[in-house]
Amino acid sequence: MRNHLLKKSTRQKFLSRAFCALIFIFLYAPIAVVILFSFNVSRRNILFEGFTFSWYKEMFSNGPLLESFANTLIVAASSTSLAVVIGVLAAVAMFRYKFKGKGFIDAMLYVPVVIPEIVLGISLLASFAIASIPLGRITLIIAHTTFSIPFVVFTVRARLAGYDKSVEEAAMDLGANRLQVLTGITIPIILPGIIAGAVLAFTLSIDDFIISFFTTGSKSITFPLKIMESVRSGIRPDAYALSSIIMLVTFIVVVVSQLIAYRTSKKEKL
Amino acid sequence: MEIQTETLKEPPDAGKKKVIVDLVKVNKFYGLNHVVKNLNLSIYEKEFLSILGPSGCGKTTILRLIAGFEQATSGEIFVEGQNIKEKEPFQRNVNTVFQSYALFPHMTVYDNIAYGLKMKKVPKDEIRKRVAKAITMVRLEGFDLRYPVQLSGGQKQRVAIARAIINNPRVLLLDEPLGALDMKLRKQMQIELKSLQAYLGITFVYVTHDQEEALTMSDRIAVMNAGILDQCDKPEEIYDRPATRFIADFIGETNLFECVAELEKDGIAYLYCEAGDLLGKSEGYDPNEIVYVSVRPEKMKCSPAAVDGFSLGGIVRENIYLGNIIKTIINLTNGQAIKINTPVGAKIPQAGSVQYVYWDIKDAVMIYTPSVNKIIEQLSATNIPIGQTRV
Repeated sequence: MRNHLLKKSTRQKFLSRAFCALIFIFLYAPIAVVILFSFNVSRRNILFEGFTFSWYKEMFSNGPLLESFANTLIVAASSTSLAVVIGVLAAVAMFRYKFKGKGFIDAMLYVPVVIPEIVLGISLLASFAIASIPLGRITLIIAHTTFSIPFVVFTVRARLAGYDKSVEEAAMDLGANRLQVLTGITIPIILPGIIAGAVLAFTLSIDDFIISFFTTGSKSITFPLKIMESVRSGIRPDAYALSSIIMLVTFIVVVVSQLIAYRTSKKEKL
Repeated sequence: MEIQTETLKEPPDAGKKKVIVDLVKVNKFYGLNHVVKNLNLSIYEKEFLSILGPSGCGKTTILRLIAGFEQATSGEIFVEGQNIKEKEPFQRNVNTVFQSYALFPHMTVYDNIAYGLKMKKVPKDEIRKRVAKAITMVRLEGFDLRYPVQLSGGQKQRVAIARAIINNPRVLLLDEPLGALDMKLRKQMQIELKSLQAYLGITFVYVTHDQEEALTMSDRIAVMNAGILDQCDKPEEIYDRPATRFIADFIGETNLFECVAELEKDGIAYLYCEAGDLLGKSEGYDPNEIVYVSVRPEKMKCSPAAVDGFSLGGIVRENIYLGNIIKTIINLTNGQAIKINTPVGAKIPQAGSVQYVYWDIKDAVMIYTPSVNKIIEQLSATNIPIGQTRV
């Protein structure tokens, strides 16, 4: 009886491991293919015909592609910074003060998160048209900031949930003015939340296609838009090369932010 | 013990007491909730003043008003003669030790303690010296580089105290600082705090709901009840001569009788209550006036036969052994349970026997409750709105 159970459990173990492996293959195989084909000699991405760095070289001489990538980084960095400033202030204000319409604002924060991106894209486009702001990098940054703010507010607010307000009173009691309390006490304590929100906002901005498609002009093309454009004529491996580099950059950002979060939490939980 | 009470009787520099914090007619409302009612309180230099009361009596609010975290709805607060109404918390020369410690979680013990000096832009060398001194004072040597989460409750408390006193405040406000500690540690910290206060020579305003803590540590105790300051006096005065029925009941253990005055003769008040007749001190009561009499368990006596003037009979329910004393519980005819403390070795009544309780007239604490007519007289004389007085 016992033996039977044991047997079954080893079989279960095997099954669960196989299942797990399948999930990982399903998730990571396409990514691995992109990285692999960025080193492919062949221009057509059907067979792997040999190893080369030439696409990376070519990528660096492909002006429009690099330009779109630089544009993506500028837009992501600007919209993330704006979203962090606005989101942190909003989260702190909503945590600290009671005011009329707080519940309404709270509910409205979920709207950009839950409505289909295409609706948000069209409505932003309409707004810019009504306000007669010419489409370009500025409108793109505004659009990305719009959908990033809720994510920053949510992560910062989650962090604030366990926050003891008397810490701020203690700092003031010890002679810190309101700005010193914000910069020296409040922000360092909620930093892990801010970083998490910033990473989310940054990655959302980098790979956004639909909203960018509606809200940018012909002079401010982002990387996802560029790729989409080239799909019609067939994707060249230099796009794979750039994708691989983006993945690397994203990976580094995530690892660094996790390290910072780990160090802060170690301080607090050890 | 005797020596200690003797020294406590006279607060330091009793002759030339200087007021350092003065609260004048302070009122505080939270919405419709009147939490501090017409408070007048003078706190003297170098004294240890406890603000004592049950939770929700407004004691923490008083502390927050002095610290500047709350604004008084009306009234004035003076610190060192200066009105501090317009001053922000960071501009006031008082420091607070919070109930929750409120240590900065992202800073080491050293940085926590140094924070106040850094904000005041004190030179780094001096900060180092003063922090080292403060750390020694609260006996936390070797803990400089730890984070608050790596400390025990008692250690956190010491950091919070060091962080406040390093700024040399004239007044230190403490909001139930020992509330979260276990019994043994609390006793130890009480002694440490008291000696620290004597050593530093600064004013401590100490908020607590623990009457024993207040009695052992304070030069004076301000007893709060539902937003009203009932009495502010030395511990032994509060204990022996409570001003109100609330204090008699709240401070220590007592036997309280609600009585009606019958007549007064030769300094003796003849009273009666539900359970029978009793005697108290004559204080000029009108016949039929309601008077409360409080008798401490250690002053209460009993005998198998009624004593002259008393007719409070009952049955001994049980004798409880408490180490150094035996507590006898006697149920009177109206059901009131009377507590009598007798030292171990003295004669105690047998459980189940019939006993009559009595006391020496000098041990009866008379608590005068003004009649309704007198309250109305008083109110019309002083012009205080009725909402602010309590019967």
